[in-house]
Amino acid sequence: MTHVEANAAAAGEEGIGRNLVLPVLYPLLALLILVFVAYPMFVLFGRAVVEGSGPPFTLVWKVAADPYNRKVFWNTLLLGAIVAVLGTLLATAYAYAMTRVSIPGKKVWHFFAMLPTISPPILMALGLILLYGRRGIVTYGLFGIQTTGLYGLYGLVIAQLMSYFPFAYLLMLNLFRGLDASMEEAAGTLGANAWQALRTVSLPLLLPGLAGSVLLLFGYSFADLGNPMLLGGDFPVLSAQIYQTIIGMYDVPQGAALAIFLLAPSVLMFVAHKRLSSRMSYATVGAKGSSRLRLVMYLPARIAALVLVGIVTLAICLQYATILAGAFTQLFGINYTPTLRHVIATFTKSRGAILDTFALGVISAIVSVGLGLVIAHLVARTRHFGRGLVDFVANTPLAIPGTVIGLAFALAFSGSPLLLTGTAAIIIVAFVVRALPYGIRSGVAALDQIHRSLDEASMTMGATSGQTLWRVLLPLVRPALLAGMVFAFTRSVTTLSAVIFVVSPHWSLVTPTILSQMDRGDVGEAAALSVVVVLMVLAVIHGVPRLFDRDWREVHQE
Amino acid sequence: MSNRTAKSLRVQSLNKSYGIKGGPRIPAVIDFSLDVAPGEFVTLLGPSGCGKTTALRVLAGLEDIDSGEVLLDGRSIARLPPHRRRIGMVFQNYALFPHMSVFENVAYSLRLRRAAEVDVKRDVGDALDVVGLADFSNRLPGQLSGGQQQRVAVARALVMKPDLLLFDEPLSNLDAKLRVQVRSELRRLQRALGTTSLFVTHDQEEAMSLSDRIAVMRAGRVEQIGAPSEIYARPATLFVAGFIGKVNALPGTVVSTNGGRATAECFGHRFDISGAAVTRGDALLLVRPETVLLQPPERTGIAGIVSEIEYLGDRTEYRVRVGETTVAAVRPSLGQEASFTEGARVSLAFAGDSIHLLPAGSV
Ligand SMILES: Nc1ncnc2c1ncn2[C@@H]1O[C@H](COP(=O)(O)OP(=O)(O)O)[C@@H](O)[C@H]1O
Ligand SMILES: [Mg+2]
Repeated sequence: MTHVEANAAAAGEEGIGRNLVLPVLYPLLALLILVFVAYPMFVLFGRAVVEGSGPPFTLVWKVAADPYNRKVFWNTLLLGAIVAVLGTLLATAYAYAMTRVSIPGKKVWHFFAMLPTISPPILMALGLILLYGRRGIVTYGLFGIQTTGLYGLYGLVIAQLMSYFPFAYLLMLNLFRGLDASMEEAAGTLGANAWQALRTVSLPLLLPGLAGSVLLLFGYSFADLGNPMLLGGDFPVLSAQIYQTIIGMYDVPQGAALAIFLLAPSVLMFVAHKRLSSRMSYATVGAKGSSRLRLVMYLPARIAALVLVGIVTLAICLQYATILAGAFTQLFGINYTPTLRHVIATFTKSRGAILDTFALGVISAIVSVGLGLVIAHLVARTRHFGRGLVDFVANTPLAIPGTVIGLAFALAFSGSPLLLTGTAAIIIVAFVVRALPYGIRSGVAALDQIHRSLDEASMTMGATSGQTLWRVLLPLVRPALLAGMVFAFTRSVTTLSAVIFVVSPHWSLVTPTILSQMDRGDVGEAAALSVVVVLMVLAVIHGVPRLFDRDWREVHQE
Repeated sequence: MSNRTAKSLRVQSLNKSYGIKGGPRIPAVIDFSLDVAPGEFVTLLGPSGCGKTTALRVLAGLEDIDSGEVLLDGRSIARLPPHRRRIGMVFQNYALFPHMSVFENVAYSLRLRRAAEVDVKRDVGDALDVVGLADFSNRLPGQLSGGQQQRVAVARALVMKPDLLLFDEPLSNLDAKLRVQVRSELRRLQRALGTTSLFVTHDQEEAMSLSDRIAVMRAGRVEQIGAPSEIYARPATLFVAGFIGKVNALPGTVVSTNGGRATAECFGHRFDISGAAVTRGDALLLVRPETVLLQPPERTGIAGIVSEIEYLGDRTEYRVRVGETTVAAVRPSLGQEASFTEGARVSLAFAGDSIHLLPAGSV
């Protein structure tokens, strides 16, 4: 939000077609955001706070006083803290190895580190169970141990680390790349050796980023539903507890009250992150240095780096390889006969889920980026009343765990005035609301490509504003918007928590299907469907730029 | 803080190239040799991309060299890492640590050496006094102006009492007025401390005003080394002549030589030129525009026609066509001076001792 607002002052009231569209569009947009972002949260609060005949907050206090709930709450915090700290350490080390140490094979290490970011997190639980579960191929197959050690805190930590450390890695990677090389060089000329320069200059400069990574991972851990449901064992956490309360015990008010306790720390983390990054980011002093840092050539450091990325990559590869194998095996862990049964089942029984996921994912990607562009434009280039508030509300889903949003949607739209339960619309809205903050970001990035002078120049050369839009503006903003759409699509099709309360027999999705297959013990089908969803996302990520961006690039190369 | 034991720097046949992925190595510094006397202030001057920064970075140890030798006070430092070289560097962007106060920035090298707190206080205080920033020690770099940041960077480099000070275009981020002011402060400071210094710039005026000697660089090589006045008056190549001020390069012929003197013919006139080291035959006569005399057409000289006049306030530039050639001349804009209009016929004259001869092929 602050970024967008900062642009507003500089950009002033300028932009495309503001006279025509915005006065109509703006109230509509504000209304949409109020109805689909703010209203569901109010409903959720309402259900938790005013329930039955007692005074407000009776239920919330009761839930808070329950010793079991307290244990669940502390479990959630403990898991989040462990994942946040370990994940940040791992991500920092991985990013350091990738940016600063001379090691071969960086493309490979990067690819595999990124793979979990485009997979449903539930895949990690699936892979871990196949590998190290009661009948796991490593624990039972290799060592003959029939253990439930995987289920509980340790398994959850491993699964969430693998699912979410890549997001932190990406964050740290950009920060390491953005570090001004001349800082460490200056430290060097002043007498600091490589380690001292890293410790006294670079790490302090990265501190806001490290804190950001901790909070990010905390948030992801809180919001995760799939891994706790499959691996939680005797270590219950809030998200899974909410699901059990609603789906298992049909106790909606109690679930809503629990959701408040999941929401509160998440919002705190989010606010802390915002304040921290605004307070601790040091404005670059002077001009930015141009030189790049030399890679660390010190042999022990190179070996250590290679070992680190190698082990992490191996662990990730093992997950995916096992899932792939599971997809082509009768019953992984028990009967290893090869079969195409599960693959066939995926394309017959689960075909609806795949097609629905794809279609709804594409629609909501387009909608969220389109809305994001309009909001970005509104906030950055106009001075409409209340635009800051619209931006703020549209960005709040960043702070809200998927389970909470999903529940809020299910509650808000299950009756009058807006009955959406069972429709595709509720899924699309859930997808869009969750992806909207990223849509706004890509909109801001797209607008950054456009200077006022560009469309003026085009118009002075005789182009109509339609032609200007089509020939000048669209090609410029297309890469950013496409990237935003791909990201929104990926996020939508991989989420479980946000959709588990809003799917219906008419509109099923892949991730809840995988979960129920796992519940039923259909490991093979779950694995096959997982393979398909990963391939689908990979195809979109690599296919979309190639399909839609080619002509643009060719034009620019001439 | 005066540095009584200034060190000499000797750079011998330094070569440095950059490897680009999937391409050939691109040489950035070629056969670079330079001797800097203890306490001397030498400037590397050249256009952008000619390898000045690379040369400095190599000396500081921030880049590995392909071949060559760097001797500081006779000791080789070419293989030492930066932190063991005792070479202070002021970066183009100052590279101040944004998370440390001015005091801690300056104290950084002392803290690394685990200097006693009293010594840190004293030395940092002295250094900040020298650059006139004693009152700013608690500020963060982000709270300082560009000129102040620059001076913190200098103080930070000075406080470690380096054997050699390197400056990479430290004034280029300052506005024009400040640049001139800081320039003279820097010169005064260096004279007072006597630290051997190597300064990089692409601004010839900066180089002239600061340096004991200037090394003009071009495409990775040193083209000429000498005192500012010498480089200005006796450029070794046309490039040097053109880079340091404006120059007319007029085609001519050396008709006779006699010891250090030569007689050259140009536009049908003969000039007696001193201090020339050229052989007979075709040559280039370098004439600075400010030494060209513009006279009314009836006076003896080279006949020409004023084709363009550019009024620049304190001076006026004329372009005079002489046959196929255009000669530039500059006059101070004095009220009473006879001014010429465009299209006017004029007579040009050069004094023989203001002409410098170069071989005809010089570029
Ligand atoms: N890190 C680098 N990698 C590849 N080429 C470089 C690098 N740094 C500089 N160069 C090239 O070396 C040449 C000299 O650069 P530089 O020393 O920065 O010049 P200057 O400081 O005189 O402007 C330029 O052609 C530049 O493109
Ligand atoms: Mg440079």
